[in-house]
Amino acid sequence: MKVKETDNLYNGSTFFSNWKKKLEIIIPFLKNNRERLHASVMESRNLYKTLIDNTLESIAVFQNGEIILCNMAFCDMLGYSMDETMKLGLKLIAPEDRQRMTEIHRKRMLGELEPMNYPGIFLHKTGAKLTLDVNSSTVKVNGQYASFITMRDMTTRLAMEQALRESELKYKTLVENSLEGIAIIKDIKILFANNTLCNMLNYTAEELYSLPSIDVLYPPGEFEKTRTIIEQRRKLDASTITEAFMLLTKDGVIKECEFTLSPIEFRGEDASLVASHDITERKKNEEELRLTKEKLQKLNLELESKVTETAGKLTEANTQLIRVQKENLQSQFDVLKQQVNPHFLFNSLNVLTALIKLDPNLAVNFSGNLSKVYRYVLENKDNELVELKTELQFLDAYIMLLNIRFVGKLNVNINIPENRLNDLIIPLAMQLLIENAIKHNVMSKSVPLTIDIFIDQDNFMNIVNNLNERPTQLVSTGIGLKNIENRYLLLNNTKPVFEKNATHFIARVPLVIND
Amino acid sequence: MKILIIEDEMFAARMLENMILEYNPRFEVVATLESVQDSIAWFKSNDQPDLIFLDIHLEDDISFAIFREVTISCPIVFTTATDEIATRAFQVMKIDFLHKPIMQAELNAVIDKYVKLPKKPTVINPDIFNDIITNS
Repeated sequence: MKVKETDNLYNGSTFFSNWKKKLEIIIPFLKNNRERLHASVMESRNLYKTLIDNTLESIAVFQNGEIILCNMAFCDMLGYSMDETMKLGLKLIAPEDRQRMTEIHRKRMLGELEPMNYPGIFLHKTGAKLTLDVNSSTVKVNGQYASFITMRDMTTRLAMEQALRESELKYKTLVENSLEGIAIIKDIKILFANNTLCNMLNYTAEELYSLPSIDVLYPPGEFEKTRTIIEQRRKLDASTITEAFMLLTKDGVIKECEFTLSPIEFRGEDASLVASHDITERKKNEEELRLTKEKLQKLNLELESKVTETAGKLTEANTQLIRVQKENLQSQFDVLKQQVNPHFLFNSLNVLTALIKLDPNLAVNFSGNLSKVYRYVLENKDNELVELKTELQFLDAYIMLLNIRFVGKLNVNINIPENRLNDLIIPLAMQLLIENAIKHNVMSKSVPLTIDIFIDQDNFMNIVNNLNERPTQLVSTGIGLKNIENRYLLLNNTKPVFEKNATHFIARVPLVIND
Repeated sequence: MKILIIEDEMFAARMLENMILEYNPRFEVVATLESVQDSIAWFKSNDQPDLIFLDIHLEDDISFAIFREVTISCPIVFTTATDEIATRAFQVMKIDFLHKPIMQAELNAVIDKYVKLPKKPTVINPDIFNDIITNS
């Protein structure tokens, strides 16, 4: 505002009083206006200060190598208080980077630089180095150039990037070296395939990416069915699905593979992560195993039936054998019983023939005893056991016949106590043993055959003869001692014992006590 | 005719002697022997007879054992009761034998043969009986 001095000179008091009045009006107005302006500026300042203070970005203004303004985000990032930060200034920059950044600041102070973005290394209060993403631009404060810089911590980002790279490498290694074929599939396109899958299908990864994935499924058309199944299952349960598919390799080989499909997000879209492995071999082995198992089962069944059959046959054979043995024994028994008939009868008749002429009285005696012998045989032919007294009566008659035949060559001494006469014995066994003794030994008047018959303390009937064996024998057709054994076997009784020492033959035949 | 009886059963021997005398009372039974040992001893100290009736089964051994010790130069008629194998052997070797009990007619027929025919020894190789005997 400009005041005319001439007016003031000529109309002094009026002029002043007028001005005073005018000023009284203007000053409050001006004062008011200035306050309003000031308030407006303050408001604006507060707004910016609030903005600066509250922004997450670190902000600092450097002028003449000193911080003239900074926000708390900057202080917090470096771990200092506001005062410490302001005081440290350029010393906040790491020594190795200080010269470079000081030079940038110097140039900016000269107004020579355009806005720049560069990484800058700062020192944290703990001594740790922080790599910050620095944005610097030129501002004017109090008529002088200054560096306005905003900073972002890159350390974490770099570490994260490094970790990400490592993790990526790790996963890439894992994926590529996996024994499983791994793929990412979106709709019908293969977006990624690892080496294993490529090798499995005999395609390169690029070929696979350019193929619709349905081309590797076998038989063609299977895919739609499969996808329907997968989608239906997905609706019920969003988790992993495992299915077996047939795959067709580039060179036309059909492989059976097992797939594990998991839903993933790939490049922001829903896709499927597929892990697969060739189960052709496994299936083949399983099939072989199954076939082998079936064969084994069949073999086992056959074996079982054969065993059963053989066991049945064996049982039958055994039964038959037992029957045959029993029949055989029975027939031997019969033969043995009959054996007394032809030979003995024959010999006796020979004697009788002679006696009739030579000594008729003795012939009568002889034929009487012969009758006794045969009555006994007739009466006992079906008995397995006979009372000792009956047997001894028969034996008396028999020995009588022998004594007539072998005059003076045979001594038979029977010594059985009365109280044992009810015991039981196999019929004709004693007679057979006497006959045996006669058959096998020399008997003459000078050296007679002596047979002792008695019961021992073990309840065996002993038939003992002195041994004077004939040097040669005619071939024996008889059945002899074996028969007595078999007859006792038939009876299921104690076995008879036959022993021969230097001087005697001892036959011990079990007695059965008759209760 | 001098006849030797080798038979271990007394009544059988006496019966045979009676039957021989029945055939011809002038025949002489020079001895009745009961064992192989007695027979061997007899042959060593006596002239051979004209005919021998020889039982197979003697009281000490089988009569074939005699042939191992002495050579017999007269005919032999074997007598046997029930030795089937020996009987078959005699038949095969055309050796005369009589089954016991000896019937007069059968005995007569055998003696007839030796009375009418010239004296011809029965040649016995004792080894040919090996098949029908066993060493006990």
